[in-house]
Amino acid sequence: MSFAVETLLWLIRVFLLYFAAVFLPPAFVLRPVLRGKPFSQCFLICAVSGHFYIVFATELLALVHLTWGPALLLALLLPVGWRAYVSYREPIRAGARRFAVSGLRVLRRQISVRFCVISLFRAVRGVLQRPLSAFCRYLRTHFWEALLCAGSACCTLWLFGSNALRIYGYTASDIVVHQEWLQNLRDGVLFSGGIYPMGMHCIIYFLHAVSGVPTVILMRLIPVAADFLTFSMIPVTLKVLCRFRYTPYLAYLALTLASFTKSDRLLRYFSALPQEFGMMFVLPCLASLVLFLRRFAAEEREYRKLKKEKLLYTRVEERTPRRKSTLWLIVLGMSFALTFAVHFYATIIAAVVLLGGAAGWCTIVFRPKCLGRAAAAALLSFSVAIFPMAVSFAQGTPLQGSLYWAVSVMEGDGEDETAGEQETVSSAPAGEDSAAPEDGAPAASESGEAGGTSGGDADAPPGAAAQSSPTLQERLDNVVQRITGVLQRVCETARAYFTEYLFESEAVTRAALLLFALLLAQIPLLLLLRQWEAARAAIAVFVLQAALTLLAAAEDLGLPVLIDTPRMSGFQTYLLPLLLGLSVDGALAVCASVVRVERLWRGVSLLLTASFLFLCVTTGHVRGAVDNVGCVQTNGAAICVYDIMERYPEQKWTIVSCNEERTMIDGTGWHYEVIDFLESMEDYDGGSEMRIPTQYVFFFIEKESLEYGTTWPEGTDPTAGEEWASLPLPRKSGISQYTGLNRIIVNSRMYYWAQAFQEQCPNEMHVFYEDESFICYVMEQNEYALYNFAIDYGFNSGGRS
Amino acid sequence: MVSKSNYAVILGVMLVVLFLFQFTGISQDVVLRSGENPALGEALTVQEETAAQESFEQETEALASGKAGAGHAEIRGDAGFAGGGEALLRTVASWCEAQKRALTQYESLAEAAADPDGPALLVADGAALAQEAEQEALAELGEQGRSVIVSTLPPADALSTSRTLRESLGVREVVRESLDLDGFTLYEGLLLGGGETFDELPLTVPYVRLGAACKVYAVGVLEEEWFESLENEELPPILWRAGNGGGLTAVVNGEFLEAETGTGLLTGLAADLTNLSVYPVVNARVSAAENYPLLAEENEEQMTELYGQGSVNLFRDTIWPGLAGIFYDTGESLTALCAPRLDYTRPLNRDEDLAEFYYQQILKMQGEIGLSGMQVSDVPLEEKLSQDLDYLHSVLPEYGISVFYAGSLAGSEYEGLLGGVLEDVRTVLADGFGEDGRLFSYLENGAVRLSVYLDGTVHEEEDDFLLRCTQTGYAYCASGVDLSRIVFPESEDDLWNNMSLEWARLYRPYRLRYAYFDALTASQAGRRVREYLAVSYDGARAGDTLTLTAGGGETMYFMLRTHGEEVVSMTGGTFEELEQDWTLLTVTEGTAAVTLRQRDRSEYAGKE
Repeated sequence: MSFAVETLLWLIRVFLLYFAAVFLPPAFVLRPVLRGKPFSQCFLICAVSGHFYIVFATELLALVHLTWGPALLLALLLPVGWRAYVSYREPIRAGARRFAVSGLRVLRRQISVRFCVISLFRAVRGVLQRPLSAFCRYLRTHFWEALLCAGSACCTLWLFGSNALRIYGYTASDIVVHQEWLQNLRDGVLFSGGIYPMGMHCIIYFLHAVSGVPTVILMRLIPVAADFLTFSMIPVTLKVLCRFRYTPYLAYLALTLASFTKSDRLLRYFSALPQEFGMMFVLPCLASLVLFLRRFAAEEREYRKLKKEKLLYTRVEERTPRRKSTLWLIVLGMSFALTFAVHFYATIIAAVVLLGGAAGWCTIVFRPKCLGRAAAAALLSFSVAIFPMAVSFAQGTPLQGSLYWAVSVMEGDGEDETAGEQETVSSAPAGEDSAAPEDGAPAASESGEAGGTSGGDADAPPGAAAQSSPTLQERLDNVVQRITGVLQRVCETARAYFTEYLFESEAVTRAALLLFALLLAQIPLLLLLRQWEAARAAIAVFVLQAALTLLAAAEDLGLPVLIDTPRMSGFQTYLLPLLLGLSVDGALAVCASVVRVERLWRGVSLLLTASFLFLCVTTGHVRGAVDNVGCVQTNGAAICVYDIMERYPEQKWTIVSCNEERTMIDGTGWHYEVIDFLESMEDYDGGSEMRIPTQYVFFFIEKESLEYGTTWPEGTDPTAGEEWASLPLPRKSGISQYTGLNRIIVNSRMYYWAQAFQEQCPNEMHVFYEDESFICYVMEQNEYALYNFAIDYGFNSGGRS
Repeated sequence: MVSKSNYAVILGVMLVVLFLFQFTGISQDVVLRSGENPALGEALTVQEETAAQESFEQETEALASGKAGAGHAEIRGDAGFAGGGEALLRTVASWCEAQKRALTQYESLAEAAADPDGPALLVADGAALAQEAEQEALAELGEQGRSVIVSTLPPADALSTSRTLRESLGVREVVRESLDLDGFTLYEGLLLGGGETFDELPLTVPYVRLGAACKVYAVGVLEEEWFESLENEELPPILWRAGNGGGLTAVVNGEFLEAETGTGLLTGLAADLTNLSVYPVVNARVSAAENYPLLAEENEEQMTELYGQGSVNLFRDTIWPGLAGIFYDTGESLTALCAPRLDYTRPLNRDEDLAEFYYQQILKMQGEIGLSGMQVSDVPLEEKLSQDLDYLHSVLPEYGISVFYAGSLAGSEYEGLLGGVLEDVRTVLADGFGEDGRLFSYLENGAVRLSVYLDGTVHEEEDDFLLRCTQTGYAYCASGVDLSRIVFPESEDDLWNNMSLEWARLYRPYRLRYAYFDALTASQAGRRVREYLAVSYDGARAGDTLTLTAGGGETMYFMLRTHGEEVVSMTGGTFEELEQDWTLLTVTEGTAAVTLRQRDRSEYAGKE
């Protein structure tokens, strides 16, 4: 079996496991709540509540150092058991009784086993018949939507899954850090690296603890499942915001299928990184806010109507004390708490999104009753999210280093982000991750000029001001001029930002700006035509997109930087479908209010979607597999790690390699760093010793070193060779020993060491795996008579060299 | 209500079952009534025996003259011997004969180094390495990519002064010139049977510390405080292998190669020096009850005093059930070496039906009866044997005696009788190794001599080490228990209760370790040995396939020693993995192809 097939099988298992853990318990427990709601809303509620429960249950249990797999599983099943007891007690009893009676009758030979089996099949068929017929009915009535839905799902899976079958290593160096933190959860330590949002870690650890799937597999494949969910939230949210059935799919496919946006912006979604994982809960915030406000408005209307008709006494509120809008307030609170629990950046984006929502529905949200409830929910949600961190902080756990770094970025001191974040290396192309964009300097100078102008006014002599006191007209002209200037500058900066970071070409940027204009133009039209909901949605999306753009280009505009531009652009790319979706939907809404044939415009929305897809395919604007996903490990090394962990007994082996594998092996074996290994035989005098006390020792050597961390000078040949091996070993500490040219030196040295050692132990040192760029040697040794690996291999100091 | 047809079917089934049950008993009875020796039916014909002997002698001669050498071939390559004493040369010659390798003798290592086309594997005496020329020659051999097995370490002063020598032998430093050890620990992998600590095998060796990349097979053991505080890697090495330029050097720090263990050790070391090693083996386990059954009353007074009965009753009623139990339990094939009498000077008192009883019992156990040459009287051997054979012929007229137990008799005492009174004898069992140090040899009249080198009631560490070596070199083990000691006891150990206790106690842990080899009677083992001696073979490896061409017998056995590889399939025979990296090949056709697979290799290599 090839490793791609093995990965595919693992991918299916991880998918099933993840979705079973997140969706099944809430689908069962919240069944009375979900009944009657559209599928998209059920999906939203289950996804949010499932994640919320797992994250906070794991965090709370970890606070009391109870992270044993069965305990976590029990915690997951407790509400399921409660629901089964409350709602299905009688059916379960009846079923058990029937089963026992049937069993007894079989034992007494009153009925045959065959009859029992047939009865069982009939019962199962009876249970399944209803949902199956409902599904078939749905397919008949919503065929095109089902088709688009399936197509969208396939697109997302292809976009994020195809690379998992092609690239087996980690795609960002941060992953090993996160993996180490989540592995420490096994020992009941929640914040092993300092206080940090551990939401993603809790989810992954939970899946690992209850299923036994190795963390290395989860870290590699969970992004596919998580991205599927994250990106599914786009059509789910658009279904809430849009009026027409098919426009959400048009907008969604424009991101996932079409290649108008830059693929680079999606690169971070290919890795198990908390920031991108947290985006899963950003759009649920908007969707649940909108649904809450709509429901709240409806409840208020109903209340006012009853009050006006003096029929308040007919309300049955006493019997149903919880308002229906509360459900969405709870979902909103959970979503917001989750963004906080997973990553603070997601919280910032969620706040921007909520700001947009509040702007759109400002007539409702600022009503005291509504504002009060929302504030209470926000406070509660914040308290829940902060509770585990606050408890740990009170117990003396310090903050994790990257939080200080994030603060420094916000304070405008984030030039060297890699230095702050534990020397991590991102998979994004070199230069993209730099906090300072390439046009940062001109922008700063422009800002300086603006400040200078303003300062010039301030510094002018008082007499001169008195002499040339401007008239009102001049003042107005001046204000208009300044506003126009600012707007012009904002537009130019936004345009430059769009071209550089978001869109593939200038034409697409122009189209995007056109969409902005279209959306803006629709708002008064929709208001005039009394299309309130469409207008609110358009305002919300316009505000949030504008705010995101301002945040992303904040540095260029001289505004405080909350998130660096490359990251921000990744977040905005994710939210771009809202712009397209609402622009098209709003335009259709305007048309539909003129020609009031709903079916016609629904058909037009389908036609538009189909035409868009057709044009994308025929003009070649289809996003293929994203090729430039960086990798911090060769495929060969990843395969070897997996194979070794799978085949060899625990603790009986050691991997000698650069760095990534130390965490990947998850304590099932041992790891020795290449640099320490090589340094042990420097200044060789025949008496050097290097012994590794395990039965099997694996040596990972990159024949062609990875471009890790920093960019090589042009023309560098990364192939292991004598020239590289002749250079002295890097005398640095930390990850820099394996970055840049140092990595080639280290690997070249190891390559020649392996050759020399194999000459001395030809029968014991075997090639475990080899491809064009990587080789892994294995050495089996007697644990009572260990080999001394310190030899003179011709390039170590003190040896023949 | 049973219908007629059902009744007929049931009746038919019952009849068939009855027949099957009766058939086994009847057939056994037929065999027993015939009174013949079934082992003779399985033996080679006279012509086949002659052909096998001629084949063996011709090949041995050809190898000795250098005509049949395989040169540098990976499989069955030639071996060289440089310097050294007679004892070492005898071991090396015996090993080369067993493995069908041509032996080239050199005066010194320097002479061997001057012959770059010479054998790729050399055995040298370490004492000669005190000379500078020999040290340089050893390094030169390494540069030529040739491997050397060094018997005993050179003098400590030579080691201390010569860096070249130390590097060639993998020695970093000499800690002590001489160290008295209680024994040594043998690590698994070198010999069949796994690792073991022998702490009652004292030896005195130089204490050295090894350099890098050395593979250690055995280290010393000493029950002293300072010694026990040493790290594993600091223990005095006894057997090891080191890289020597492009070649390898195996060092034996002790006088193991000069002893009977030498052949087995050489096999293990040579197999570890090459990537793949194939050599012929016997594949036989022989277990003999010497001087049993005893058919006459002997030493009646002492017997009555010790056991309350005579020797005949004791052997039949007490010893036989115990002995049968041991053999049933261990699955061994019984070779009962009958002593019709022990004291030929006393009046004869024996039961005529006793022989028939033993015959039936032993044949039921698939065993074999041979004739013992032992006696406590001083009657000429020929006369004793004539009397015995006459008697056995009278009581078991159809039974042909083909096995003779010579015990500790010198070859000259009985060899002449093989063409006379022992004319029918094809297999001779004798205690210990032959006078020429060999386990097997042809005797007069084409009979073959098999060494019984272990006592079933004794298993000292020395025996255990010898057993490991011999099993590795030959896949042959023969043990015997002299039951005449019960009749003429010399110590408490000779009492049957003590003896049976030791026999049963030692058999399972030590002999059954090698249960993967065939348990045979002496005649069957004799046939295996003839085929083993007559075998000629050659092999070549291409990729993952080892092609083995073999001749000289119908079924030939080979030991395959690999490094990190396992056999996945075989044509032209069958295979059985005995231990990790040790596989027994049973070749039944002239050419066999063995497919190997590296064990420690990623399952995804080449198909990601």
